[in-house]
Amino acid sequence: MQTVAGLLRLYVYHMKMGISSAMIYRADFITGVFVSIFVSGIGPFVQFLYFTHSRGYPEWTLNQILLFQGLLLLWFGLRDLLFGQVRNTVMDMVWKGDFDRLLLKPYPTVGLLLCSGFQLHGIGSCIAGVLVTVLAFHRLDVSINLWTVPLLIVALICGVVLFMAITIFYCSIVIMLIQISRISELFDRITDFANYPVNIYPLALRVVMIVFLPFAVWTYYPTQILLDRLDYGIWFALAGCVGVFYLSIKVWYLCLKMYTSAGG
Amino acid sequence: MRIFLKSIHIALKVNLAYPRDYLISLVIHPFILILNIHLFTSIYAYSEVSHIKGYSLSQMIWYYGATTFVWIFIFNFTDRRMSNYILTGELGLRLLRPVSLFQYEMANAIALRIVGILFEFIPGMVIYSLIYSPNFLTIASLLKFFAVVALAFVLNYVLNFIIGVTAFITQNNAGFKRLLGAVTTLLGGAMIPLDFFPGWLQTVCDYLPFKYLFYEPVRFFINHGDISTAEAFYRVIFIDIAWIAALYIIAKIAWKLMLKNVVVAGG
Repeated sequence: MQTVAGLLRLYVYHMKMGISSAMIYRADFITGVFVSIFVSGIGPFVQFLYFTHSRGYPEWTLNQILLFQGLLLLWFGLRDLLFGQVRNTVMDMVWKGDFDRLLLKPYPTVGLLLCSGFQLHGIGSCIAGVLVTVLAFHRLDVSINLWTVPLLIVALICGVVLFMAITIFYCSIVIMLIQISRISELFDRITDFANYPVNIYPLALRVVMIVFLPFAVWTYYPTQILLDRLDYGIWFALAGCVGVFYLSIKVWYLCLKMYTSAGG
Repeated sequence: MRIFLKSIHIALKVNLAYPRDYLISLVIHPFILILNIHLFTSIYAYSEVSHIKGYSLSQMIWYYGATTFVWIFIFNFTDRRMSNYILTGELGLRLLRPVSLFQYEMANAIALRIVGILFEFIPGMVIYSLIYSPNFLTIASLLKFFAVVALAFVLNYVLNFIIGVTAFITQNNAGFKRLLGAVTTLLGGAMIPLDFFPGWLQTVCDYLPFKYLFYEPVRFFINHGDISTAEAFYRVIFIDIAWIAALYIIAKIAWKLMLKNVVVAGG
């Protein structure tokens, strides 16, 4: 418990540092936020174009997809805010040989890495996500029942846990392979599958995305909760998140054992 | 010219030092293709149509594959590198070299793309073709694609150089870089074919250079019916060259203006 409290304090400290650092290049930061809002708007715009020139995806109307896109952007923003910096930090530390210093600190190394993840630039996607979600809410007339909010909170927590797990896998690969800068792109392409409703994929892929790599918990299930058409698959997805996180910790410690110092 | 070629040679050696970075594309590309296969198969099947906006299912799936290939041909880090020169104070050293920064960065970009074509485009093309056959592809369309994408490389380089010059004012030009990236991908047709845009937005795109970075090269690659004539090909080549010339003049003027105010510091 003391460790978790210490890590949280460290996270807040990193957060303050991140904000100060972003404010040094204020013009760049403000430009970045506006660009981020603009970039975030591209996804919903593209979906809108697809829906106006075709019938779109099975079982989804334009407004439902708008809600999906809003939650997706919100998730992107949250993810970047919380852990957006981890990839750069670990890559940079391993390349320069600074990673070894983390091993001497009185906290779990993976915890220290995750604590350095705050990235203020994620705020742009969050703003865009809120705007699109509010618009979709307005057009859909979503009804919120007793279970909606608790389920959304559980889905959010599990989503964060899953993303932490994926980030830990990433860190494990980086400390083992050292010099592969594009590993980040590989992770992005794999997680791109979460950017579309799970039901457009064939059954096998659907099972993977719900049970084994439960990306569905990030946007698909939160949207289904709000649209009141939840299926029992969510319980597999939530359990899957915990399972993947457990596995990531195991892999991390295995890789840490095999880690040989690098840098220079 | 000798110095320029030597610069390419050196940059080529540097870029070839880490071939694993390029080879990872062989793993990345199939994911992109598989995602698009499922996405568009679902849309086409649900809409019960064989063509959407003049694109068959295979052309639409390959549209995004070809966009990835265009990235391989045109991508460079010039904007980021120029910003780093300012932030680290390295700009002073660069200015003392017997080759202009424009040429030096161009050499680096060419070397980077040669390695990209060898390790990403060629194997990627083979893998893509094995997963989803490009039944529309002809030798003529491929050759036209190479010609148009070569000009797209130069166009993108000049655009990136202009963004690099903005670092003289902002030091860190990441914001501008992202802005150009966003505008390029959307208005250049990398996110969705421009045919899907409303008429007024298509007209806006006609007056901007970005469609010559992605949309036009990709249409030659997928052998879209609209550009099958020689006239269409020469028109694109001509406009491409005109944009490169205009942006080159802008880059030169911006460079001269900014260089007067540059303060070399860093650390």
